[in-house]
Amino acid sequence: MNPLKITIDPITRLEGHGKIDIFLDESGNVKKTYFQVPELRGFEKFVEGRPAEEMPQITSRICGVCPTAHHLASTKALDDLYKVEPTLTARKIRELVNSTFFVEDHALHFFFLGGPDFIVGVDAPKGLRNIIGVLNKVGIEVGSEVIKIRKLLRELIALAGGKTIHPVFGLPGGVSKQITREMQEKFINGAENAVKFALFVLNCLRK
Amino acid sequence: MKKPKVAFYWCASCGGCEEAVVDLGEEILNVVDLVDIVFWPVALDFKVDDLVNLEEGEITTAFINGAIRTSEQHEIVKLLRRKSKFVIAYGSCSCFGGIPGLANLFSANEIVRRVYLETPSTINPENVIPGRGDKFDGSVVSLPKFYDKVKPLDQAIEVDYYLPGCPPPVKLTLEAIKTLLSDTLPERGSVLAPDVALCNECPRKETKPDKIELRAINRPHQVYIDAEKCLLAQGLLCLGIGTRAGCGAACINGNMPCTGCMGPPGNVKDQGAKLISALASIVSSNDEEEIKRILEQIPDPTGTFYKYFLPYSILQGKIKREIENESLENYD
Amino acid sequence: MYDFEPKIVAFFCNWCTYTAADLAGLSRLQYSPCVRVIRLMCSGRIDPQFILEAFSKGADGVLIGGCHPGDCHYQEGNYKALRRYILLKKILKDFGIEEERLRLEWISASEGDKVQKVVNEMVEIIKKLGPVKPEKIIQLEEQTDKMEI
Repeated sequence: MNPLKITIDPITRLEGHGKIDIFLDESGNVKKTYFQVPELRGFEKFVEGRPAEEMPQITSRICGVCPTAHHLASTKALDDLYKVEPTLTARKIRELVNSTFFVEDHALHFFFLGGPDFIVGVDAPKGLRNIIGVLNKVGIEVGSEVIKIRKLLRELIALAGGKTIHPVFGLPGGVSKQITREMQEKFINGAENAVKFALFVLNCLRK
Repeated sequence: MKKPKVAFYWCASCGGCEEAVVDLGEEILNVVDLVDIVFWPVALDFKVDDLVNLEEGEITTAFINGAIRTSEQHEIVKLLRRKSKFVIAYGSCSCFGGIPGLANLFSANEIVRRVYLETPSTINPENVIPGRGDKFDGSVVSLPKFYDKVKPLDQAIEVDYYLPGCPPPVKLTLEAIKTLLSDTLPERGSVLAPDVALCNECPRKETKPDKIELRAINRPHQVYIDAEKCLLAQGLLCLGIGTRAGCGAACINGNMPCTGCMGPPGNVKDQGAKLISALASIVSSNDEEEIKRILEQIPDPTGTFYKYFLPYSILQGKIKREIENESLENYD
Repeated sequence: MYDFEPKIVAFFCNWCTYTAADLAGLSRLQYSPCVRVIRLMCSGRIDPQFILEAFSKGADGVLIGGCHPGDCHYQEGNYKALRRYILLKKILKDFGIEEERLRLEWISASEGDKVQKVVNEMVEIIKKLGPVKPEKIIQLEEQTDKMEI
């Protein structure tokens, strides 16, 4: 093992594959660093020949953490392709799902992915730099709130979009599924809880 | 009593299967109590070296998702196979190849050229293509090999169980975990999902006519999709007829047709071929010209019927003929 | 022109085409030995999986023989075969298998001469196209690195 080389393989707590090789000089300063991305799937090529309306469901597979974002971006591209303006209702439904996704995705990042670096600290032992370490620090009460709110919001995404991971509802000029009065109430409830959760977390961090 | 060890790894994957595990919600706290997760790049900081240092068979179960596309993924799944008692192909990509499997319709060269040189938003004036490596300070820093074709997991290592889905439904994952921690293990090689077609589970099955007569095939944006009726009866290509149940008909509940992510039911070797067969049986015409006209309404049969299954199909993808001789060497 | 003996798998329906092939034999109408005939009760029994399996195992061409429209012993079987054939041809093209390698013909029991004509024609066409030679399943270790410069 070369003492003047540090290898981080794989990089963790993100979506994707990566490897870092750091070369040091005798005084321990960085001489050269290589950031390597050892993965390639080729979406840019294999979507060629597929029907346009399948793009929202195919491109969502670029990422399973933010499939909703890819799905909606593709759907907007379809609007542009067919030169149609989505109806006001459709726009609102899309924005509703997007906002719901926003909150649960940020909660994921804050607690599971990036959070451990800030809450537990980069110098903590390897075994604690993760969600479990975070929960140990902030307490099980916060932990269970995080899990509850993400579950609530992710179920809402599935309610309007079919599936949480890789939703299906985007169509050129609209969406595939109506929002009923019942669904609307669930979303309102979800939104209220999301705001409460955000304030709760802010409060905890202030302490 | 030491807790059984569990590992998760992703190959050519999107991370959705990881999210599916996190979606066990409160259940995950119970799971974490029962097992010791020793490797999970999306959530934990354990490195490949930590895996190398484990004993053979020390990991009780490894959940591997994603298809095999690079030599690094191949090496790590081989490593995990050595260190694990059971390996589960988790998700459609590792079971069948998944959506990344559509890349098997193109050559590796075509993909690399498109990604690094030809895409409209790429600025690469010197036509740089990721190379095999660099030598620095006596070390070689290298990227893994990019294989010719996408392979599902069981074409690289022995797989004990399969749990398909894109991603696998939470319910099935929970059941799988409970089963695997129990004393009665299912037959090795089995698929941990019900062995019936999706129609059985579909909330609209009462509206499915006994004899479906397809006179026209519609693309989802061409018609107003009735939220109560069988989608196939509405002329939409709902592949539930040739797809395994277990997902609770999630896409149908989103008012869109099934695209086949759970793979075929047990007795089918090639999902795409069977779907063609089933569809052909219900097209309602005996006139050659009319049949052609109806079937022409399917813009992309290969992509539609093999969306998740291409590498696992009988032909596995575009056949390479000797005539092909593409090389990136001449590119300047 | 490739110098090889093509392997063609022929799925013939029992009632019409297979009988015609027998008739061709009886009438001493010579047709190419490159064809391996498989008898099925109906062209509608042909599962597309059979055709793909044939190509994957080394067939250079697949011929389907069924009853003329309207004459199917089981009423609709040959129409199902026709619909499957139309879809399969499109898919085979995407898999790199030329359209001419899959052929569907309606051949009635009395058309022994048509069997001879169709088979011999197909063999000539496939000889010009060359073998399909599905790539042998390359062991993962052997795969070449396409990213080498």
